[in-house]
Amino acid sequence: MKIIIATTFMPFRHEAHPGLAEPLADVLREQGHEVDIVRLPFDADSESQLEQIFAFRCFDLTTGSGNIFDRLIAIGWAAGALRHPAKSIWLTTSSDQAAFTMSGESHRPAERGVREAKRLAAASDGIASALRTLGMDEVSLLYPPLTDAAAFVPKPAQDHLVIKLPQDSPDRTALILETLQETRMRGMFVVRPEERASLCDTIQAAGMTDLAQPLNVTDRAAVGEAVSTAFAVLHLDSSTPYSGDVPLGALRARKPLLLAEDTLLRSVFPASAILTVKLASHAFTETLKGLRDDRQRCEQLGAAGARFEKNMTWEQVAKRLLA
Amino acid sequence: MNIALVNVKAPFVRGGAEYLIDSLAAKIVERGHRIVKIELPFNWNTPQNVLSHMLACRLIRLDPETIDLVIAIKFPAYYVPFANKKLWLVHQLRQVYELWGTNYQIFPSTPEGEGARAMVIAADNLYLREAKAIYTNSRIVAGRLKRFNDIDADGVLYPPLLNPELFGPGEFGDYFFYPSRMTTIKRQELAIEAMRHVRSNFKLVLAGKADHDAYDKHLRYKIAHYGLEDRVKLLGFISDEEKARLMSNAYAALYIPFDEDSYGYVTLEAFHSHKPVITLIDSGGTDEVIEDGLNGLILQPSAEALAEGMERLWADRAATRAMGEAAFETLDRHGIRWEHVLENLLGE
Amino acid sequence: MTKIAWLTPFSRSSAIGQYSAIILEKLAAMAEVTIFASDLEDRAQAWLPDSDLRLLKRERSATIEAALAASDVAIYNLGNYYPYHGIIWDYSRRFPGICILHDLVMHPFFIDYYVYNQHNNAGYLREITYAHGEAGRILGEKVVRGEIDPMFFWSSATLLDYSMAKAALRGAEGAVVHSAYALGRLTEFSGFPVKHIPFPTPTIAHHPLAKSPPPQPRETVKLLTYGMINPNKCVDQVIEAIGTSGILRAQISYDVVGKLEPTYERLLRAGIDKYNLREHVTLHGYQPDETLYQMMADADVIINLRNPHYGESSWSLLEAAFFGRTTVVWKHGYYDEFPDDTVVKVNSLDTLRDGLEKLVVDTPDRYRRAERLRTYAESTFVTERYCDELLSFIERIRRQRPLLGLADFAAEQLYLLGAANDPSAVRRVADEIDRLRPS
Repeated sequence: MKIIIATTFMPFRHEAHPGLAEPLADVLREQGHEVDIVRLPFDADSESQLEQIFAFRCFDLTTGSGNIFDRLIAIGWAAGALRHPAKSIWLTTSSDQAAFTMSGESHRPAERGVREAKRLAAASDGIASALRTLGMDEVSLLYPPLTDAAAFVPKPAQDHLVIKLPQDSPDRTALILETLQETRMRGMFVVRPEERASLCDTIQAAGMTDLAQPLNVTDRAAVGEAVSTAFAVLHLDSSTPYSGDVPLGALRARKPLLLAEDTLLRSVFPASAILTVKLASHAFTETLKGLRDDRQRCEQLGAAGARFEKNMTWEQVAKRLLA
Repeated sequence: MNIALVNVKAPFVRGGAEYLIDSLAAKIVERGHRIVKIELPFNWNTPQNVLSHMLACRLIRLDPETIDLVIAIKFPAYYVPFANKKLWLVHQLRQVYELWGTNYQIFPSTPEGEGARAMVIAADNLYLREAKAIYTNSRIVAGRLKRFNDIDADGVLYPPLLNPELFGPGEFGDYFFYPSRMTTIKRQELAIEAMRHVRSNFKLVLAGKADHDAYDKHLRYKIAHYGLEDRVKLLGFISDEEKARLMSNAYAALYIPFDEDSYGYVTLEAFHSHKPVITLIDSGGTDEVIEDGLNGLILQPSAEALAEGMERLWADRAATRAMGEAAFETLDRHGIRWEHVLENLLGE
Repeated sequence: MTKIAWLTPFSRSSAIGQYSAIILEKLAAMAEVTIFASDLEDRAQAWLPDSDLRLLKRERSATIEAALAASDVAIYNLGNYYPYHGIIWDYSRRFPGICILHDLVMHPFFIDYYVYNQHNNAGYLREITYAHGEAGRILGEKVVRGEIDPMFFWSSATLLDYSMAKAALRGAEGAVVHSAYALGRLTEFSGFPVKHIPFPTPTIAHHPLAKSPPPQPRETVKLLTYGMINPNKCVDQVIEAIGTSGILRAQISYDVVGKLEPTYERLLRAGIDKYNLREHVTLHGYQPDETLYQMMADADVIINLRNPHYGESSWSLLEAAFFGRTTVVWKHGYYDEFPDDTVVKVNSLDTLRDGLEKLVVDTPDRYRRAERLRTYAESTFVTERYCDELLSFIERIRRQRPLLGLADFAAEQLYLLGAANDPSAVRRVADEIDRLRPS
């Protein structure tokens, strides 16, 4: 089959669903399909969102140059607005969820796209629930596998933590800095380039430059190495169900994954593979200290996590989206 | 600078324009700028699609806070609105201009087709003028711009190869080489027909991905039908390295499209490989750099003439070698260099 | 050649059928025309029985629709008379094409279509509201409640004020009318091209009697009015003008030919008696065509008044013109479009009286006007010219289809995206589409 994978991005800012198109394309090609990726610019912050979505509706992705394009896999709600009679849509981010929970008629552009889809998949219960409130019941849960599995390898743990925080979350940042102080562990904060400066200011103001440092999410090799050698990975990003490879990479690297009690990943990852931590002072410290004292527990978590991650393959994704 | 290269893309098709964008992107990054490639889907198989895609391009929003310069190269990508926009024009929708009235016109010869054509021309007249500067990739494209839209281009920037170092001189082997996207307008079929008239024992090697499977099947049928399996090879898609190797050791190259806007990358690849190029009088922009008898041959567009030209070259190896050297010298003579391109596009 | 589907009444009792036949005899040599007759069960009753003729009443709608889809353009002849035009209007909404609007008012059509035939007051109200907004709705509700006799309109200028042309032409690609007046009215609301094409040459132009010169000067100047004799023909005013003019009383006779509306007939006879004009004025009632033509040939002046007018383009005025007889008209609408030196234009009893007196007294002027009127008619109402202009208009309509197709696509997609809540987005898209319109 000829399959088009469509996604959106904001030029020089970020890709809406970074890295999901390529591994999906690779596995589809291995299965004998021809795949092309279409990336459309989409300024999600603009007041002209509706016109941009309308522009997407103008594109014809059913045929071209004498070829029939058999399937369209759209990643994200905006790409999901593209027209195609055999369309699958995969929704993974908080923006995707927000597109369906807007008040009034504002969700209509997103709704139009998904109503046309032959298959709908969502990375979290939250997104699936949002779709169900609009009467779309047939949504399968599909969390993205690792986009760069090779970067995450079980290695001996060193004494640092890898941390994922939501953007603009001073309370959580403060909580984690407190944890680093208490445990005297180094913390490597995975951030987008545009968040780096603000984080550095916060670390400097707290006088913790010896214990805390930013880590560019775009530096995949460095992120992979940091996770692979971490003592544990802390994930406090409750804003989005999917935010990249770090959580799943931690499981692949057999590292304990600590999730804040309100993160959406808690409904995706099995309880045996994670530790849920209250968002309260000293809670992370106590948990980490407990892990330090209980290596067996670390190994159990690592094994459960690795078993879970092993079953999350791009072949599965391809199968679900083309089923 | 943050620079957006805006192009259109037919899914599963990759041709000269895409190669140009990739090359330009690589060279701009070498200069220290940041690049993003924006490829908008384009489907021109019905007038309605052409018009709706035009409209779509007008409604794409690019943020001037994050983008400093937009460079567009093809219709209808150059409709994308942006204050600081420059064009390195490779293609308008030729089917409504000089290809109107030929077999290649895509709109029907009905009032509806003419109405759609009028819309395209009117939009070009309006939106081409939005650009801060318009460069073209050949004199022929500049000439059309003037003739049909009454717009004077700001200059011609001949597209260089991205990796000219891949190509170099080699042997003069026993085959004529024609590597190009396989599609009717590139006329691989004519090359196969020419081989029916060839008496000498040289071969024809065709390489490239077919735009659609039906054309590939058609060519293979022709080869088998004429009993040319030993003389004509259809390689399909090959890597750049393989292409460079084959070009280095070819006897000469063919580049015989119908009414192309520019000389084509095949011509440059051959010149860098010190090989003469055979083209046809109706191939369009190839005659901007190919001069008959100097660095190649310009022939009548028939199978017999093409066969005769190939035979002529084959019969005079010394002359062919000399043409190959002249072909290489042509590159400097026409200033086909990236420095020149970037000075103009980036204003540096 | 352009493939045209021409929908029209086509029986010999239909004036629009005759109009169509005149055009189609010429048009068939310039385009590939299939006629779709709306009023016939038997092609033997048709104006052109040997033409490429299909009967809408005898074929399944699926085959008609397939034929319309296969044509390059569909032409719909629309008029007031529902039995002839209802089925045509139905197809015009399913397959947008060019409508030739024969009646500007169209109100009786909609009353018949919705209220009398479907008992669908809501449908009628929807159409009149579409055409005239809240004011239309209020009037329409009075009509359905019986507070206003729908036929009251025939005597009232309100009929023209509440023209239902907008509803009749909803979704049309273009419209053709036969007067500048109608063109002006339609362009008030139409978002589509409207073309004014003068009538073709009427059949009567080829009648031997039509070529006859005006009668030689004689003692009695013969005045003639013909057609459906109802109040808007102003025959009562003509009688009053004669009755109050010594000049006219002494020198004229006045023939009134055509079916008389009974109430109006009583009024006319009362006027005749009041002014003692039994020797001057004769109400003939209906007469066969040949008799009428003889009377037209024998007339010195044809009085062709319409007041109020209903936006019509008068075929009878055309006939009078081709007969080369001096004609008196009311100065408004279509009638005022004839050059001032061809017809006599009046706008009151006094100007009517004065105009008639002048015509009676000034014989040379009467003959000059007659000649100029004939010359004007022969150069303006030309069937070949009609066909050329229609084909040119069809080409124009076809050329705009890609733009309209794009607008339709955009409208559909914006609707699906819920853009009704974002009028600024709709506006921006509309502006971009508008900029794609060739100048």
